[in-house]
Amino acid sequence: MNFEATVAGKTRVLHVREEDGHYVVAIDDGKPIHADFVKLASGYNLIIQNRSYVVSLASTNSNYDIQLDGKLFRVELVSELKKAQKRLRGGELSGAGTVIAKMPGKIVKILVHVGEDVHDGQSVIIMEAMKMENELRVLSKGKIKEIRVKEGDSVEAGTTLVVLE
Amino acid sequence: MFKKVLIANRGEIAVRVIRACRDLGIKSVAIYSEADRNSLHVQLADFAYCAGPAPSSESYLNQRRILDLAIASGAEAIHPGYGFLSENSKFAKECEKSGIVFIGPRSDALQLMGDKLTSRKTMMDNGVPVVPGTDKAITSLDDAKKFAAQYGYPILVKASAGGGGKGMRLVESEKSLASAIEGARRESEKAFGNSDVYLEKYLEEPHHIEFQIFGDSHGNIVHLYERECSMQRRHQKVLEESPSPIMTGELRKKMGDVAVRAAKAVNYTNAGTIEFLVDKQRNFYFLEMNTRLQVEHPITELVTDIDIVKLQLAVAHGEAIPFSQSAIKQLGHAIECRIYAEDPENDFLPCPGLIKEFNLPSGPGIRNDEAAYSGYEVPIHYDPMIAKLSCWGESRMAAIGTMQRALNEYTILGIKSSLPFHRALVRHPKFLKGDYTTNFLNEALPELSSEFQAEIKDRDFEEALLVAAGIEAFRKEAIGRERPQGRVSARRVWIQTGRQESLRRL
Repeated sequence: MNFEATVAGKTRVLHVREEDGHYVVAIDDGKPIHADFVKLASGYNLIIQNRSYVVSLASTNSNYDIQLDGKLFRVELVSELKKAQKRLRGGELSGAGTVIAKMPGKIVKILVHVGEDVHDGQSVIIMEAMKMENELRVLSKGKIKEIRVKEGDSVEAGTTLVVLE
Repeated sequence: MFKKVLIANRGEIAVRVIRACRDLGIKSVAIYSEADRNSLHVQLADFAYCAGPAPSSESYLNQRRILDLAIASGAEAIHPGYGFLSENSKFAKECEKSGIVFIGPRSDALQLMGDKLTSRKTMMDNGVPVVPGTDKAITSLDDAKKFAAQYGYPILVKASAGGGGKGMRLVESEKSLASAIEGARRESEKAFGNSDVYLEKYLEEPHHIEFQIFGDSHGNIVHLYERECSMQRRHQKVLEESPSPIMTGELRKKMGDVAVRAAKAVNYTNAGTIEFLVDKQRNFYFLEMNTRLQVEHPITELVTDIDIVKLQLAVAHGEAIPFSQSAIKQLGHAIECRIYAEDPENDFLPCPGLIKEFNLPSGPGIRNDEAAYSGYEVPIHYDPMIAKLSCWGESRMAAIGTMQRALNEYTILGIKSSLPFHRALVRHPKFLKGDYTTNFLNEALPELSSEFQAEIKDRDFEEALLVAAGIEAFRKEAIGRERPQGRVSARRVWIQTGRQESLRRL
């Protein structure tokens, strides 16, 4: 089976198959790597050529958080089948030019108004979550097109708060 | 000793106190909010009572309800932990009136030290040096401007009822003075129900060093040496160590004596902490007293071999401290990392949610204080600190080596945690040298954050990562494909047909 793995902006093609109780993986058509991968009560143990690694991983859709020997990586994994389907359905909506609540919380203060010009990194909303106030900033310069919340609102994670033109 | 104690708190500190009770054969009574039904402290206690809805004000801060539960459960004493009601003199007084022992100082000492303005005055009257500041709460912007003009910027706006960095703002220039006072007032009102704020001169590049003190009802007061707490981000401690890397024998003796004198000034009983700021010339100033068990108490326990929570229980029961100052030794070195449910790559935004995998490090020299487990959902309503990792070694470098190893063993997946930040921090050359002040993190964060995303340092490692990723994806796909064999639902057939159709067009 083939997968595309993207780590730190670099994409590789992985060919994976099972053979006699272990796995064989080829990276970008390189020479096959024989891997002994054991699932434990929590996490995994991986042995490649007698080198042992502790592996923990958790995934949301195609995004994997993988901790390997105490180092945490984010890996995007897409099977070639899924990728083909995605291409047919068209691309995803872009999230640029918006400020989105990354956690649930309460809007304490709105620092801008519609039509205002903002610079890159400017604070636009003060939000309280877990008893701390956090300033949310815009990531690019532009003009405020829409403010979708008001002070005192409670919002869920993922709510779009502010839209730039 | 007490037979039954109610713990008026949640999270890792409730777990810590419950464990001490268990060690001593004391029955423990947990209270929990509706959002905390699945929390670890509820599972570990002998008894558990729901104190109310999720908001702290209706549960962990609901004084009447908690007292009623203590009486109903037959608890003789209440341990307040830290935060919540731990420094609330009214609550301590209500306990005293109801014949329930409040495990902490007497209500009058709480009241006196709890108000930062009053405590500063008491310290000055007793010859304890304090940081220059306003002696009254700020009532007008003009007064604030006048103070700033006299001492110069930067200045700190602090909540008189404050603690834990809440209700505190650093002001660099007059431009942001008004908004800082407003913000500090708002936060203080919300956190402590009191909006009084005052101003303090901001010392440049100070060390934050605190002394653990302990008093009993027989007039004994001792100190358990210092903790270096300069590793702070937005006035929140992220790592502490004991002893302090900048401490000398002479300075330790002087500060320890002053700490004991400060505690004696209020006839202090039970566990407390005297916080000092130490400037470049090694002058030290009283900052405030924390009249409770401190988050970072484990490192003191590790270097002194004294169990502070057990001592709290014994002393609250009326016993005398069973050792003298000269018998307290500071042995080896201990470091603590506070593990937060925060995203270090995203300005440390709190990250509540489901922990899919939680694995603690173990082995020699490691101590865990935790509130989480695999499958635990961190609620949005409370402080994001979910665990503490402490390491002990015979020297500072030995303790650091163990900490580096332990952080690598530690696993938290499903939510973002401060682990990548801590891993980078304990490898930073300035930390390794012990050369850091409270300014350090402000300056070093950009540099540290480039390390949060672990770099792939060699080919073998990269190969292993990709192999692990590939096999996991393969296994997931394989499971997905096996499933329909048993019972094929109409929906799945439809999806498969759709899939084949879409591929045919390729």
